[in-house]
Amino acid sequence: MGTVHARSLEPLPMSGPDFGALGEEAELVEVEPEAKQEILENKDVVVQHVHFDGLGRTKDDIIMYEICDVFKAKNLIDVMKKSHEAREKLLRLGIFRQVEVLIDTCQGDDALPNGLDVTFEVTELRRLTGSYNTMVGNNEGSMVLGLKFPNLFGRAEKVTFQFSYGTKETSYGLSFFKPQPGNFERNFSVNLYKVTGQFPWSSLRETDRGVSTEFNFPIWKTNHTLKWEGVWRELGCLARTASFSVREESGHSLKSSLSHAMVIDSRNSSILPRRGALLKINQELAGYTGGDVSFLKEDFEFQLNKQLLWDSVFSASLWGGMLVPIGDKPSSIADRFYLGGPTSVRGFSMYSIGPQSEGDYLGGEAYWAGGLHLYTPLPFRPGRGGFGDLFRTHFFLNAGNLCNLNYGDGPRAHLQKLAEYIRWSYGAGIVLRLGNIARLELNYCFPMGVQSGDRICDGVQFGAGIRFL
Amino acid sequence: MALAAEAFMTQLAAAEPWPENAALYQQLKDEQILLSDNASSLAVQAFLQMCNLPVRVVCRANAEYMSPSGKVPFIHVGNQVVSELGPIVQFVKAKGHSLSDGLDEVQKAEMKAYMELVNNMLLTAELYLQWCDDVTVEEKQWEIRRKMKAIGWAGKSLEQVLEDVDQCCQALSQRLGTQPYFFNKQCKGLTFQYRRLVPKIRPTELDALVFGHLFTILTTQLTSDELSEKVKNYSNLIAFCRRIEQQYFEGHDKDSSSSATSRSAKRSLLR
Repeated sequence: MGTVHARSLEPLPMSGPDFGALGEEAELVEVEPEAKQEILENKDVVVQHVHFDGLGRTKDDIIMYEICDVFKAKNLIDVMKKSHEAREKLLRLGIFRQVEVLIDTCQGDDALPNGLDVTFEVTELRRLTGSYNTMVGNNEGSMVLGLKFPNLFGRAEKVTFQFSYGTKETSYGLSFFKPQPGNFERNFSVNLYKVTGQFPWSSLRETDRGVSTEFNFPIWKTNHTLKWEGVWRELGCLARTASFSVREESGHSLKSSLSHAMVIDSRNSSILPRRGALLKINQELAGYTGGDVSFLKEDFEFQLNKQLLWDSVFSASLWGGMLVPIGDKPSSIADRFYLGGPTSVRGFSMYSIGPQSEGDYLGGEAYWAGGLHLYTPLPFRPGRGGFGDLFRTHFFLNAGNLCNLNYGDGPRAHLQKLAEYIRWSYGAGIVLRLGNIARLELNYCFPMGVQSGDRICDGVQFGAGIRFL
Repeated sequence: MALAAEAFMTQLAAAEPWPENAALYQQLKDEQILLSDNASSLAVQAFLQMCNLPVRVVCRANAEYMSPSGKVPFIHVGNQVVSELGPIVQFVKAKGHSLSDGLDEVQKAEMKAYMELVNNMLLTAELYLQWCDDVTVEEKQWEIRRKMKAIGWAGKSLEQVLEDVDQCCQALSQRLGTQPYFFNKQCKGLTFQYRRLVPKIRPTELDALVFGHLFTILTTQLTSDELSEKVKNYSNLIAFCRRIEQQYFEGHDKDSSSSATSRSAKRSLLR
């Protein structure tokens, strides 16, 4: 009867950990059946065989899980749809470079008249892939070397090693990732890392050497992560002029913590979403599995997006958090929250809101921040349909507060403390989307409600990052 | 560049008088503190007492990391932080207090030489002995070993170290002689002593340094008494330590529980 080739369809959005950039809007392209195959469309079919070409070190059982649905297809359109889904699942595993699907009628002795053969032609990734980049940051340069061993033992395990050597500091990380066969959303990973950071707003230098293990699993529409982390933290002063409060925090400490995070994300994209909502709730308990620091930390992030007339989007977001030290020791500067900056309350300098001492910002134990945004296409829509679509104009109103709470008082006093001295700002600017990864903003801001000690950045402010208020 | 920064710091220091809330930071007491760190801290305390500048002693576990140079003790005065005896003497001098003003150039050079002797010999001997000491905790052993390697003393034997200590004490004892302090320059003012008015004689920073080290050696309990025995051979040194303790520390015993004399485990020296 001739061959039917499944046309390669647009990829559906999926959120596996190794899935690269996707288009913002994906649409399922319906295959128009030709006149000759119209008969097949309504006919019941049976998938008799599914072949795999090109498997090397990949074990059979994980493949079986991903393609078992194909056998359940009842008619041709169903077969094509299910094969497409299976192809997406196979790509999501991160072990194949390429997956092609071929659907053909069954040949051979045991062939049924309505039998079909589905063949997946796959190309496995090489055993070792490497990458090399150079990065330029604030007054420093570094080279980043990445090594990846995909599909290490045949069941989509992955070992990644990243090493960054820079003029100021060296960091590295090794991570092992293993998904559950048949259930890619459930996976666990073990990480070892050493990271150095410099925080000029607090005149603080931090070196973290740590190990962490985490489990990810979905429950209904939510995604949960359970993590244990052990970190040896070394804090030091960045300059001789660091304030004494920061100097007092210098030294070594060990943090061992258990944390749980829950994410519900129904947005269509994480950068400049048009619709959907995000809710992230994270809690961390430190001190009960060892270590020097003991606290309970809660923070949440909420975002809501709604599309309005004329291609504009209205977005509201709310962030908040609280850190409760357990026991007598006060909280460490490395655990506290910070507020302010181009990715947080705009109009203020980076993390320059709240308690400070001699110009060094110490962070606070409780905070909240909220933002209202209106995104519109550029005026007069230059470059429409192409480059111009990456830009949006943006009107915003941000507000927030960061302070230390007196835990002896009741919740009423806490709310009162968080409500006094609110810093807020408003303004407008341009946003540029970089792929599906990051966002650049150039805003003109008017900071208000500035308290003594805050550092502002009124006027033009530039920001780059992944997570914006 | 560093010279200009130092000159600027000196100017800043000179601007303000000594505040009431000056603090001296050192490590926590008991097993945490190294013998040599204890001695350095005591030397600085003695020096500040001699200058009549009030300071309170604060013990912190991370004192070493808080210090700008990584060494204890350090003082926090106003919003300046200065560590180690040498810079502290300079800092105090910039504020107008000095113990060695009355000395001439030759004597100042001599004083510096003796201070170097104490730092090279006694300090490292303290490190060495603590390394050999069984009671020393594991973490401290590792730290001591690192410091020893930096100085290059890991190869020395116990006898050599004790020999060096003996020579150092001999030199100090000879220099001290029968005088009350190492440099007995008379300064302004009279003091009532032995029922007579006599010219005041003030100690110098060398006296503070020697006191700090010898007192620590004599009063801290180590597994072996060899180090303190070497020092005990010189009676004028023991008398010197006793004199300074009585004059500058005993009056303040009531004020702070962390005063120098109440810290040590063994006090067989002075009773």
